[in-house]
Amino acid sequence: VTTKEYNICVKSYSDAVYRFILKNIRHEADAEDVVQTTFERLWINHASVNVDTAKSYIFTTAYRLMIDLIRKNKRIEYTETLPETEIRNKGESFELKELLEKGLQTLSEVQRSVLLLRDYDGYDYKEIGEIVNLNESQVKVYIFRARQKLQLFIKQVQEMV
Amino acid sequence: MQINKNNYELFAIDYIDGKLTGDALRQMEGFLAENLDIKAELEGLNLLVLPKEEHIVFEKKWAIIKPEINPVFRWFWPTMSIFVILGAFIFGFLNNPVSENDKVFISTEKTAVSADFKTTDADIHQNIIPTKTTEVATKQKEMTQKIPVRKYTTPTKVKTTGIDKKDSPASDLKKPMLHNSKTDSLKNVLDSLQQLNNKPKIQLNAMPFATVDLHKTIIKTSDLELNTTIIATALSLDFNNHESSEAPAPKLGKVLKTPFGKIKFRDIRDAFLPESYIASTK
Repeated sequence: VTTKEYNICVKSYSDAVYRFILKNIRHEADAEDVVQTTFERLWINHASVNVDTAKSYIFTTAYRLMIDLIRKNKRIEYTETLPETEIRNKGESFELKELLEKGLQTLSEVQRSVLLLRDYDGYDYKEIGEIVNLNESQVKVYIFRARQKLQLFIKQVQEMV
Repeated sequence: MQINKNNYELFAIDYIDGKLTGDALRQMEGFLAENLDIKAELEGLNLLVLPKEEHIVFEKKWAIIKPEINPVFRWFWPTMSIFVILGAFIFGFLNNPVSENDKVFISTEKTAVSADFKTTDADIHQNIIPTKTTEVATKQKEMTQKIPVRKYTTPTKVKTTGIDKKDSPASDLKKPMLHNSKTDSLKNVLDSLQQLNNKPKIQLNAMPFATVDLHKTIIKTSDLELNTTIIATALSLDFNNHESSEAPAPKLGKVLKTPFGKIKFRDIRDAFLPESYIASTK
């Protein structure tokens, strides 16, 4: 990756990887740190990274940094159970977008990551597997279960409203 | 592979995406026909896609963008620096090509003056100092009076004869007409040198007590002495054979004041004396 290609990567992927991390950890400063560190690593290794695999390198690095951050800080503890009390107390109607946003928080770390990579960035299952270190079949199952869980969450919220 | 409740998830996404084909598709459809609850779960899943939130952007791109240097301009400043240094050097050289002490002037007057010295073989054998005619002495005295006197710095190196690069019509106007470098010929100069070199002994007007051996003669000038300085380099001094000197013979290293500056006798081999200061007695 040349300097010019590196800058193209920044312009092309920094927003996407930032969204991907932010949606996962829901912490702007940490998300920015992860993105900056990711591109620092890309720059340090730019001589050995091929431009064709740069996008995968960026997302893989960002994902691993995010996992390390989550495990280190324990700041974000997502549960796979519905935060029923919070939603019930609000008692408000949710748009689908908001429901999905809330539902995303109910997913496991891996489920959320693979779903975001699939829906936000359009990765195929094999590419997603390379980023999160899973095989293609595992990715498909994780994505299927993530969608199932989102669907269930939405149904539950609609029934409550 | 037979699709059942334990493995249907492996095929579910491809089924939802419409990518199952052939035998796998038929097996999946058969499985869903037998499990309507699962079929109901799958319905609508393909519509459940996270919306792209492109309004969320990474604001600190500027912090990770690296400056790009065009390969064409990568060597621009180093190259420019070299050109500037070379340009300054050439400019300085063209404006001051030769230091004042190193300027060499070709004179035709040398021949005439040198011819005034009348030295015979007998003189040489008797170690008699050559002399010059009264007319020439008078002429040289007038020349000396007209010519501004400046101090000489003792040159450390003698350059070969050449034409003064600063000679130009404008600069010629400032010069007395006794010498005109443009009309000099190398032959005249060489003749002058030869004649002057043939004088074994020359008495210096400024130093009547000193007799100078002219082992080597150099014609040299600078801007102010263009018309005055036919120069002889004295390689040695002979005080012993001089009888008419009223002044005591200077000791080695003594400084003698001359219109051309202070000359240390030990350095006289390097001193350049104007022709008008070269005198002799019969």
